[in-house]
Amino acid sequence: MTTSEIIRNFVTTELVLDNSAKKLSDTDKLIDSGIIDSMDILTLLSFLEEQFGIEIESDELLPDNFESIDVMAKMINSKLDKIRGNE
Amino acid sequence: MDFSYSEDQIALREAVIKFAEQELCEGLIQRDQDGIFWNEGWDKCAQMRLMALPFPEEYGGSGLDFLTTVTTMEAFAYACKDSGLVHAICTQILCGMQILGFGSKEQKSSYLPAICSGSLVMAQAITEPESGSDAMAMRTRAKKEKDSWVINGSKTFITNGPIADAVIVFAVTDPDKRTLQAISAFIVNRDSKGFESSPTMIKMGLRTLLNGELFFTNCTIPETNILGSEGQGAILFNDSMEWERCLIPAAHLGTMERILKTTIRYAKERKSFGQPIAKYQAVSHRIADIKVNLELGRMALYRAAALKDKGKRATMEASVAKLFISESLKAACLDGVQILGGYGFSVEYELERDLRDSIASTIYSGTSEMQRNIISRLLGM
Repeated sequence: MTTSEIIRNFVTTELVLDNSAKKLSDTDKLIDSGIIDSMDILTLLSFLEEQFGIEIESDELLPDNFESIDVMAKMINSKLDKIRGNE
Repeated sequence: MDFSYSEDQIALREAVIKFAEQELCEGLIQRDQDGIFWNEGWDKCAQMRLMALPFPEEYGGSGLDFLTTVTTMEAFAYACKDSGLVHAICTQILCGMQILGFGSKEQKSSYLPAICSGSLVMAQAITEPESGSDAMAMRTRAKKEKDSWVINGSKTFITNGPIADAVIVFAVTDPDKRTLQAISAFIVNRDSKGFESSPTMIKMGLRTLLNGELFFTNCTIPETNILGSEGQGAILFNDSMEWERCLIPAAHLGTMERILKTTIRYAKERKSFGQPIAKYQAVSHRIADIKVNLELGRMALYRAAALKDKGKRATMEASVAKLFISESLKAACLDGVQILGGYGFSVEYELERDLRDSIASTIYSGTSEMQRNIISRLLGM
């Protein structure tokens, strides 16, 4: 699975319990549309860090970095690239 | 998993217990009755460097890990019966943690040394008259005007509010956005134009801890006093709650251990129907339950603190620890008063104060109901 697919799967199965996220695209605004709220962000952060083995620093904890699946996937892939580059 | 204390942790705990027993036991009953914060006690704790525990040495801190900070605060609250003073110091540390985690270089250099030395008293202002558990429904507004932020609104029940030299204030900066992006945090100094605080509120317990209202009327602060980035307030708040839901319960564990010791001593000495009441299971089982909850609370809390030390999120673990320990503290206080009977009800034996102080533990830092909400959400419900 790609990073985007992993995130999408988590959002649609763990964060959204009704059918509203079934047609979610990678660029849909998750915060603006109310799909994730201030409590969901905690769940999402824990999941992303655990799933991908990354740390999201304080200065990266910005709503803009979680606004869509696409944005999150780019941030995570960038971190993974850095980790791989250091190995 | 290694559940034993390190030699350094043991030495620090012993030093703090000795300090508190020697220096912090005087006049508490009267201060509690009068609702007075103990400035001299604060200064003594500052000299003992209790407020400096988790902060880097470059800012005047002691550079300790969070687990050691937690075990030290637990020992401190065991020996210091002034739960108001303990809570005030926890608040000071927690405000510093927010600045350490999200502050600019200038903010860290400016505030952290004064927080560590205790020369600056900090408060954190989130709760409003119409938004408690639903904290993010706050109405206090902050508007950018040229090179300043102008804040309007009010906050209530603010710990250290009446005496704070600086306050971390959460306010709405973009009301058109969803909660997650709408709120920002600011550092407001007491001498800021348009800032006022109310007299101290009179409370049922924690009477030596000062709580009050804060008012912001076109309160103007420099642009650079924003903490973190604009719109980062809700995330900052959630992050800071993980620290808070570890540190304050650490103090609760200390209080529980003191209650355990007090009830065991009393139950062994007090005789009824020809034998010590400790021989009656109606008494000994209550005390055994306090011990069980103390040990389980420790495991939950130390696990959460250890995760934080590893740079991991501990949202679930901190909520579990906070919920369990605060509910256990209330139960322990009630059992303690019941076991001591009339003496437990009397001011002289100081258990009734612990009971009054414990009532708020399941309300502040997120009520028990909110902790269950968080745990449920994290379980995917």
